[in-house]
Amino acid sequence: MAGEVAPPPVTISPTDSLYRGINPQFYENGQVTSGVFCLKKKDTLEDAPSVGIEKLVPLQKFHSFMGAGWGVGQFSVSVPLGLGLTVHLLPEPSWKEYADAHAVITGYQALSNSKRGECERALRDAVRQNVRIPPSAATAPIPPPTTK
Amino acid sequence: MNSQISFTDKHRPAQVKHPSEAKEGFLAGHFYRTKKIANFTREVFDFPNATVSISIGPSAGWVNQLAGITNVSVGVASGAHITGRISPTEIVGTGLFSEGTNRISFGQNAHLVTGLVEDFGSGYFGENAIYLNPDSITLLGNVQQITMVETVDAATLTQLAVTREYLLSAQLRRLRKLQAGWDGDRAEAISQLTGDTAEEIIKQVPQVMLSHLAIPTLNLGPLPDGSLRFECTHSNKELFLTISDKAVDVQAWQPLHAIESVGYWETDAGGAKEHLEWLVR
Repeated sequence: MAGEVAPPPVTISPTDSLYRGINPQFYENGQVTSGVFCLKKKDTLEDAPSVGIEKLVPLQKFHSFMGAGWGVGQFSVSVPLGLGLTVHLLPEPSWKEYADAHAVITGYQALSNSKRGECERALRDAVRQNVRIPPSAATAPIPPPTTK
Repeated sequence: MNSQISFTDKHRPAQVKHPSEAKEGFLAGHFYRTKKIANFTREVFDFPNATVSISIGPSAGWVNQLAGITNVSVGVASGAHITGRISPTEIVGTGLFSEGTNRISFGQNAHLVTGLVEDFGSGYFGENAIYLNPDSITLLGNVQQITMVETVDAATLTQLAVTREYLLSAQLRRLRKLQAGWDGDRAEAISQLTGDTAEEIIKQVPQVMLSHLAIPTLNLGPLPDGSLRFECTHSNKELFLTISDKAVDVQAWQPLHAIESVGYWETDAGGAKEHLEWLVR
């Protein structure tokens, strides 16, 4: 239609924030574990950890895209960039009007096992510092026997 | 409960640095050998903000003050009971001594027992400061390691170790039941072999805790590729033990805020023990 202006291309800067869904299995004793960012050498772009771009999707909406019981953590784009990783925009059609808010963290496939472990831990720490919505506990462990 | 670990020569953990000179002619030395105590070794990172203030007072002994940022400074109250073994002259010989105050420069050591200066030596303890009665001492300074001698309730420690093992076992039993796709995507189930290896490591936990009198934090979680990972922290160290079938990949960090790890090793359940011991040492 004449006069229609295309939306500006999505860009993200190091000062932007990202949301990351937290599976309850990666929440142990009230702490996020490194499984929240499992980085494998053979990962394709589709296997890479998904994130939501905070400025493009409200927290509650992002949370609704997650499974039951999942939580949400928030961290700065500067964290993966500081580790030498990249935040790759990858629109997710199932997010409908928020499709453009989807991205993945990538750039770790060529790293050594050691470096990938360092990235997993650093990303875990970043999410751990700002859990916006805690996951529901995975099945609680059986209480220990009482001792006399 | 009054059950405590008896601190005798027989049971003394290896990391206790105890000068042989203390064995004779010194009341504090007698106390040191007979008091029921155990010890911990703490890194200086446990004392992050280096402002020092200790005050034990003349009645408690000779140490008035232990302070410094680049040095550990010890004030020695003037008074009786200074044996020849710990004379001001000796202290002057290793530092700056003035009006009852001794400054121990970097690389030197203070060996304090119940607030009494028992011995000073240059390099003997390899940049360690050893003292008892930590409640009355805040030690900061350019020493690299501080060995504190503290009372430990052995019954409580044992209970904690057993409970920790039990909780990890319960967690493992739960994780073994995870079905493929447990992450809502393509996660793999935990294999029998991976679970068995994790179980072997869990059995090592109480042994390591009790032998080092330490209570590390251990989380056990799954990874989407079907492996299991112990995330263990203690003091200023963190350890990842990632188990895939019989293989255990070990990665360690120190201090906690470091991004770069201090090492990465590929081993098995038996080889993981030395890394757990590193964690709590």
